[in-house]
Amino acid sequence: MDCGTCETAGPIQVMKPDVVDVALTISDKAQTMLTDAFGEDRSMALLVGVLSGGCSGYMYDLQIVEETDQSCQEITINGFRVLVPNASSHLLDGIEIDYVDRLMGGGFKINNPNAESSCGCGESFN
Amino acid sequence: MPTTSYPQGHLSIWRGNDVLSFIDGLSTNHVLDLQKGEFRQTTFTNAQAKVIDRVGLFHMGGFIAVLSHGPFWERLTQHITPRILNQDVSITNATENNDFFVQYDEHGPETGHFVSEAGTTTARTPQGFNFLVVSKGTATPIDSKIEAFHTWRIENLVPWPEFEITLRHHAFTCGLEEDVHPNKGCYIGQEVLTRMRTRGRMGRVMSKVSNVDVDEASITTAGEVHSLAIIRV
Repeated sequence: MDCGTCETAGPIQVMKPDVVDVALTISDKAQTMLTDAFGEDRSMALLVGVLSGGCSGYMYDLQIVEETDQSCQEITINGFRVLVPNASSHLLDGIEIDYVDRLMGGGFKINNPNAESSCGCGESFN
Repeated sequence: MPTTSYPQGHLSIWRGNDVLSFIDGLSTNHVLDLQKGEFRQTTFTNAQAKVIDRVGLFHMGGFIAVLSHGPFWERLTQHITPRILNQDVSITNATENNDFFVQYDEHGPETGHFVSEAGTTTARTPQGFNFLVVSKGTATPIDSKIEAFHTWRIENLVPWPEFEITLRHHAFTCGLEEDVHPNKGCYIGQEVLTRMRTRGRMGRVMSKVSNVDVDEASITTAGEVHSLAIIRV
């Protein structure tokens, strides 16, 4: 097998959607839960990303981070820092970050107007 | 050992820390535990669980070599590249550097493994044939016509791209059960396939049939006496 280390093997064309300026909201319940998580420390940020996979093709990826090496947009809402990677900005513009109390499947939830469909667990969308 | 050319073979090189998780999240088989020297097949499906392509993964150590079917490559890239996002995955095309062959009706390396020797990489599939990926310029004797391979496929119920493996069929329908891991995490098409499996409703399935007993329209690989067909059971 020749694994293409020669110059004839160029990278395939990757579809890269345009970066959009993301607008998002955080529900009151989610802000309460973020206050519980962050305490008074506002140096931490909520990273809202998207990964491939899940039943519908994309999965939300929520992390509490201090910094990230990803190219991100930083949005501040009522003192909460939210980071959105530019690479997934086209999928996240207009979302609402909510928090749902449930015995099963509860937690932070993303309401996404860009999603044509989502799977039952709410973690995956298309 | 019967060897025939597979001119539609396509080889791409996938590099990056996220390659296995990326493939695992978008295809039917569990591949996160793939180790250097192992070969595993997995199938990319759409939301309706119809087959986009079945690929073979060679874990080469620093990267994954992906053997796919050339005529399906464009639709596969359209399916996967928008989902790379900011993951560490880069893909290059190495098809032009290699020739592709199928060796059948004989033994090979241990199933699920490959060996590389003198420019030829031989991978053993669970279906009982070998894929050969050969550096251009390396001599490989061809002693079988493609028709003989298709006859062998009919006898051994082995599906093939553009015959059984098409966008018209589910992974189960076209005989790719062994690619569908029973309890891995979510992937596109998983809900449909899991429902089919748990309810025991596979709809149509690939079968070896006698030519006189089957509607010609359902035949996918035609043989002289027997054929492969996708029929309702």
